[in-house]
Amino acid sequence: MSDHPAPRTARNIPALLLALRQEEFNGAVTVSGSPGGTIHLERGLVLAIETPGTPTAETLLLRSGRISEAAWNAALAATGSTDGRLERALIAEGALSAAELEIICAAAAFDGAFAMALSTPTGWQVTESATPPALALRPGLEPQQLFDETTHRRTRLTALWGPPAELSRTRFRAATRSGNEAARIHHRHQDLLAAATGRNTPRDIGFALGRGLFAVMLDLARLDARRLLHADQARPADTAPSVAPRTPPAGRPTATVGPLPRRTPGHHAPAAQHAPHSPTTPAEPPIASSTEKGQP
Amino acid sequence: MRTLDASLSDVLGCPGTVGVLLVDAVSGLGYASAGDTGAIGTGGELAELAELVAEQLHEAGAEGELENIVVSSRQRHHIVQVVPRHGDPLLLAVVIDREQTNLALALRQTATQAGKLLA
Repeated sequence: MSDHPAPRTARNIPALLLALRQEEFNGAVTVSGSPGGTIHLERGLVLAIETPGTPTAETLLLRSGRISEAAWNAALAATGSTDGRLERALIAEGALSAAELEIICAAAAFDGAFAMALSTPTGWQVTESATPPALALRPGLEPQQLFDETTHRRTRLTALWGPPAELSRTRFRAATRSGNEAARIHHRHQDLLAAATGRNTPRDIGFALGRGLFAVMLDLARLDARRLLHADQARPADTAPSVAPRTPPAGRPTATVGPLPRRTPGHHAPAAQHAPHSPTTPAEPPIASSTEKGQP
Repeated sequence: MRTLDASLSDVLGCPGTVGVLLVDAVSGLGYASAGDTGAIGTGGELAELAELVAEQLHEAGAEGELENIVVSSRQRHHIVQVVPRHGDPLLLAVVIDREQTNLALALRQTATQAGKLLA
């Protein structure tokens, strides 16, 4: 039942979402591309946006250490008594207040829209029977609010730093600074400087610190303006923040001290190494003695 | 109606309060508003203002974090109160009518409301 003739002819995602708002659609829009993502809708209002480009509400809560893994699991277990709504369970369990949860869900939805708008999608699919998001904002957000905020964010970053898409794939490294100077940087910026290793994109830093993509990009742009960061050359091949598994940085020598441990085929019991060095012991199993080094 | 909208309606009920706005102190994202907030400015502007003041205070060697910013005009006081939370803080911006209340009381009220907001 995903037959929606009007949305299929939509020019772009905003046009599609506005059309779905008109028909008060319930379901999800799965956007393919890099980063891509899923936009969850209820009566055409945006409940949540899940994209690999920025942490979701769940990731924000857990990665920032706002709620513990134990509290999260307790709430998950309690969802049965709150008609399957995790938000209600979290509030009932006293993990956090309704107001704070609203703030986190709204922030995650706006960040999702911003992250997805950094690149052009390759396609989309409208589905009515989609898995609901783990955490949702109810009532949802008007799609127009998301577009306006995204435009506003892009304008701010462009004025402050330059093209947002380029900023999103720039890897920053903290500049060396004197102790006196460091004392005058507030905690939030100090955490960000500690996380900027020159190997991670703003997205990676956001995931590491449990902060939204836009806030991280804005802070990085500000710190860059204060010359507290060095921008490493953005790789021209990238068109969007990389969501691929991380690979170790090239050119870094692997320190090898002494010979590498060697495997003897057929024998993998490390305890054999500690076998007594007395082949004359009658109780010695033949396997253990044969793994001893220097044995022909 | 969301919880935050209800909370801000309560803040608006305080004597002399004309308008109230709750925004993210870093991203400037507006979470809720009530009453006449035309004179406060956008969330982005408020966040920039708070960032600038906090940065200058740190540069000048001030200890601790920024608590609030008060801007007064002939008819109104604008109080921008920082609401600390785990993660990026929030800003509670309140517009007060000078005729109806005094600044000391309004500051106290705003700080109390800010404390209750996320509780």
